[in-house]
Order: sequence, then structure tokens, then C-alpha cells
Amino acid sequence: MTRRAIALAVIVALLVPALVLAAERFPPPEFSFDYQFPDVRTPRPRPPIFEWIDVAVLAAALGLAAWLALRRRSRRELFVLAVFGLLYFGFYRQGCVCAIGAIQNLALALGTDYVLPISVGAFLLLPLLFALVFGRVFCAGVCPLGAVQEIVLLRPVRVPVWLERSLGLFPFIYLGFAVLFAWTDTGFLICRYDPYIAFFRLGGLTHIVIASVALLVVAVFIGRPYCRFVCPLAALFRLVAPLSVWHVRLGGEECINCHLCADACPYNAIRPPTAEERSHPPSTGRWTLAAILVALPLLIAGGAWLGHGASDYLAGYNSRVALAARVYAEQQEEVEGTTEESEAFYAQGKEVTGLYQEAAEIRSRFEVGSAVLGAWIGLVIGARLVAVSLRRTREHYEVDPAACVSCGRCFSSCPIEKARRSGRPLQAAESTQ
Amino acid sequence: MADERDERMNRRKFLTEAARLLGIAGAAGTLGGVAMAGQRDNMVWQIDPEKCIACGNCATACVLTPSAAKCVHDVALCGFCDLCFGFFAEQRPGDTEAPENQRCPTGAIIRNFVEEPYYEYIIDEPKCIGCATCVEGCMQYGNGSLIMQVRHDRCVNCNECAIAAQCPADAFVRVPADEPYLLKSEKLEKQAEEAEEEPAASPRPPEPSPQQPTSEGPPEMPREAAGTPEAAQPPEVEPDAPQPPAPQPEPAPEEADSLEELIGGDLR
Repeated sequence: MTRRAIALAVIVALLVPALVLAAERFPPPEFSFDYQFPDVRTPRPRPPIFEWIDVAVLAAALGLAAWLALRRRSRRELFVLAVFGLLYFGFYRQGCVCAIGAIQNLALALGTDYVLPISVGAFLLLPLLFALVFGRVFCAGVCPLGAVQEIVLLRPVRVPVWLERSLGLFPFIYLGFAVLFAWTDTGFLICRYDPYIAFFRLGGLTHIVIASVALLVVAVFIGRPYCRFVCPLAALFRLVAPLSVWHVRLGGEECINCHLCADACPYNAIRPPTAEERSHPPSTGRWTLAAILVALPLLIAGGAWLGHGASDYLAGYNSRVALAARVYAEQQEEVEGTTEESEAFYAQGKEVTGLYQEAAEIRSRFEVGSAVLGAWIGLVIGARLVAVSLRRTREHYEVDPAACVSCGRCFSSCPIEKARRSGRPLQAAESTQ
Repeated sequence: MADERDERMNRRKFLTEAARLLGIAGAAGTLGGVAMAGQRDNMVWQIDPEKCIACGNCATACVLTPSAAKCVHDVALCGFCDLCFGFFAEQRPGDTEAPENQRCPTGAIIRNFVEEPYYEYIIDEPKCIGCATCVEGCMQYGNGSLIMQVRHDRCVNCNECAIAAQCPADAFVRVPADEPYLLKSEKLEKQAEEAEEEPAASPRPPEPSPQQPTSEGPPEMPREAAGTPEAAQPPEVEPDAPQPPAPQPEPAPEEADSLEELIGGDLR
């Protein structure tokens, strides 16, 4: 009984400090000998120097990719570099952090008090800077996701241009959602739905693994489905690469319009001469363009309105907002019982008003963000409509820098290029074949 | 015709050049901004043990198997209890160290006799699967010295931690890579040091004051949280809002009996 009483006394005595110190119910004993406390093992993360090595490897690989694509013009060497990118950034670095995901880190840093590590910023901005000067060389030789798809593309099937253009809108929309969700600290969509990360790590969540395998099978027939129809970084590249000083070009004025390069390109990145696709007189086109330009502000405004309307729904994906709604429902006794989340919140002993306020702040950010997202989607659709109605004149086959991933498949197909390499005039080079 | 065309091309060229310059300036500016405002160290994920509720998601949500989050014994807080509820199951056939009496599903806790009546507990980390069952037991009945921590020799530092995305307690936080652990004992030490440095200040950290100015009116949910567009009230501070239920029940004195019954013997 005395031990029981002592135990009780200990508990009572400990209750007061226990309120402050989480729950130190049993004070550490005083041993009769010099007891050595076992060490708490705290293994360190990778030393920061490795982050800089990663950035250096990224910069070197980008430079090499630009050189191989623009000067050496060697498909084989680009492929080897892509395999290296897959091995280093994919399998060795396990796909994190990647240039695509780093978009979200930048958005998170803009939206919250998260401070962007310089190495992560470099991972996003270096590829963009290179794209601004050399076109999409990152896609060709550095990106591990691109490399996976490049390797498995064995039986390319051509995607019709109308489908390509429609599906090609999705990356821009996905980019908008990813930025909104990162900016509000709701989650990193790009990372969550990264289809190849499970491949790099040889394991992952079941539904992602299934999607990953499915997309790999698709990638055997359709060239780079992720890059063309999903990748949000490719959306940024599409905006930036057309401005590039140098990018992959073919034939030029000497082009003999033989169509071989367009056949070699599995990504619909080579545009044929316009004479072939004229179907209506210029005046019709002009009217269409005028109508679209008038409709563009309406599209943007309509998108903003719809986006604003969806803000409540979108905000529901934020864990704090969802928790606040749940706690409120529990407080109002609209629901029975508690969830793990609400119990964890109660265990913190914090004020509900603080939570409500926090949720309200996130909600108001979502109201602004969703409206901007809607406007962005309207703009993307409108801009694509404008782009397809603009009358362009191409006399030769031209590489579209926005779509070209600098993979180098077309180099060996171009007779002009062959002639130049062999140092003989075109006719002579042709006659030897 | 040719001249006109050339001129147009020039205009287009000019616009392209201008946009390119703008782009380069923008990217360089952002890079500079990041370099100025950013931090040199990377961030890594860690579990805040004061928020952790030992739900067990860590074992299953991690991209690694077994999870990168494992149990860590913050020994400085340990009471060296004879009857440790991080170690022993609540309901068990006996009081030996036999597997059927243990709480840990993989037998990853080693129990060593130190001196009467103290035992030390060591985590056999390779065996730990991060299920947090022991953490829950220690939190409920003990000092809370068993905690969940992300082990940085295993963690691959995903940009979005898969466990963080599922953590019901929002206990996953990004911490600087040079201080990658959040041990309770270290925090207490720091607090004690701060208290020593400022003798004027109270040695005990200030308790959160539950008092609120009173006013009437039922607690109203800010519309954002309630999700009803009608009740468009700004998120005013609700003075009379219902207090959250008391923090996780500490073993109150009157509960001691039942606690003892539950434990089925002496506390030590």
C-alpha cells in the first residue's frame, strides 16, 4: 500500500510541471553508480556540399547538352547524355529535387514564409535560362523523366495535330493548379502525381506505380506523353524557348522540302511549309482572328468568374481549411465523433478561433488565387486559338522551338545535313546512297 | 514586297529580342533575388514530437519500406520504468519480456536491467518499422521519451514528403539541414538555458492564457471555414468561442486508481 501511496504522491507532485513539460511523469532516476546514458543517434542528412555538386552537375550537363545538340549535332551522344541524366538525377538522386518540382518551391516561397534554398532555385532557373538561349536542351540531355520516355519510345505513332494542340493545353492548366496549390501551401501536386518517381525508386504508392507503368507502356508508342501533354515545366519552356537565340534548326534556305525530317520527328515539332495546308482565303482567317481577339477578354473574364466560384471547393483541399470545417462541425454538433485530425488539434490545446482565422486567411488567398487561375486558363485557351488562327508563311520545313525537345532524331534524316557532313554537294551525296 | 516582308521580319525580330532580354533579365533577377533572400542550406523534413499523435501513418505512407521515420529514444527524458508501456502491451498474458507481452510488433525495443528498479530501453533501429505503437504507449502512460523522428540516413528528402501529406496532426515541418532533429530534451535544455540567461524572466515558460474578453453571441464560423457563401462574416475573433476540449487527459489524481488498475500493478 505504501508503494501505491508513493506512486500516487509522485503522480500528484508531477502533475503541475507535467502541464508545462509535455508529460514528465517519472523524473529521471538518480543511479547509485555513474550510469552512462546511451547516445541518441542523430545521423546527419547529406552534407550541403552535395547540393552544390548537384547544381554543378546540372549546369555541366546543360552546357554539354547545348553543345551536343547545336554544335556536334549528334543524336547518339545526346542519348548517352540523357542516360547519364537518368542515372544521376533519376536513380542516384532519386528524382528529388527536380526542375519541374522546383516550380512549386518558388511558388511556396512567394506565398508563405518558406525560404527558397538557393540550390533549389538554381534547379529551376538554370534550365529556363538555358532554354532562353539554346532552346529546350534540358529536355534532351538532362531531365531524367524525359530520358525514360526517350529510351522506351520504340514504335512511334503520330498524334494528329488537332489532338496534339488540344492536349497540349493541359500542361498550362496543370501548371496553374500546381502553382496555386503550392502558393497556398496546400500540397505539391507535381510531386504527388509524378509518374516516374516510383520508377526511379523502384517502389511507391500503388496507384502511382500503376499509373507509372501505364504511362511507360503508352510512351512506347506515343513519344514523350508526359513531356508533351502533362509536364508543367514544358509549359514554361514553350513560352521561353521560341525566344531562344540558338535552337535546333534544319536545312534552312537550302531545304529541299523532302519531308524526311518531319517523318523522323515523333513529337510533331517540325512544321511543314504552309503552302500545303492553306484551306481558306486570307480574309476568312482575318475575320476569325478578329472574332477571337474580341472574345479573348471575355474568355479571361469568364475564366476568372468561374475560378472564383470554384475557390471554396479548391480551398477544401487545404488540410487547415478542411480541419477548421471539421472542428466547426464538431463544435456545432453537426457531426458525431471526432477524426484523427480533429483529435490531434484538440490535443494541442489551441484556440479554435486561431484555427478559424488561419482557415479564413487561406480561404481568402484561394479566392484571389482561383480567380487568377481561372483567368489564366481562359488566357491559355484564347492564346491557343489566336495562335492557330495566325497566318504564317513557311516556305520550308521548320523546327518549332516551342515543341522541339532537341532530341536530335532528325539530324541524320536531313539530306542537306548529310551532304554537309560528308563534305560533298547534295547531289553527289544522294547518288551514293 | 520583299522590302515590306523584311521590315516585318525586322519588327518581329525586334520584339523577339526585347522579349528575350526581358526574359533573361527576369530570370537573372529572380536568381539574384533567390541568392540574396534564399538560404544556403537545404531544408529537410522532421517530425515535431509535440504535435505527433502516434497515428501510425509513418509506417505506411513513406516512399521507403521500411519507413524513413522511426522511433527514437530521447533517453534524457526517460524514467527508466520497470513497467514501461512503450515496451509492454497493455493487455498481456504475463510480465516477462517474452514476445507475447511486448507492444512492439517487431521486437525492436531492447530492455536492459540497470539497477533495481530501473531498466533502460534501447531501440534496435534496423528492426523498427515506424509504426509508433510504442510512442503511443509512452505518451499515454510515460514521459513521452519515445518519439518519432525522420532518420536522415534513410530519408531521401522528397520535395513533398509523402508522410507529411497524410499526417493528420500536421506534425511534419521543414527544418534547416544543419539542425535536422527535434528532440524534446534538446528543446527543454534550450529553454532552461534561456531561463538562466534571463533570471528576471520566469523560469517556467508562460502558459497559454485561456482567458478571453467576454462578449455575447454564439460562436460564429467565419464563412470561409464553414463554406457557406451566405454567412459572409469577416473572420472576427470570436471571444466567446467554445474552448477546445481539454488537452489530452493527463493522468489526473482521481484517475490514478483506474490507471493503476489498467497497468495492473505498481507504476515502478
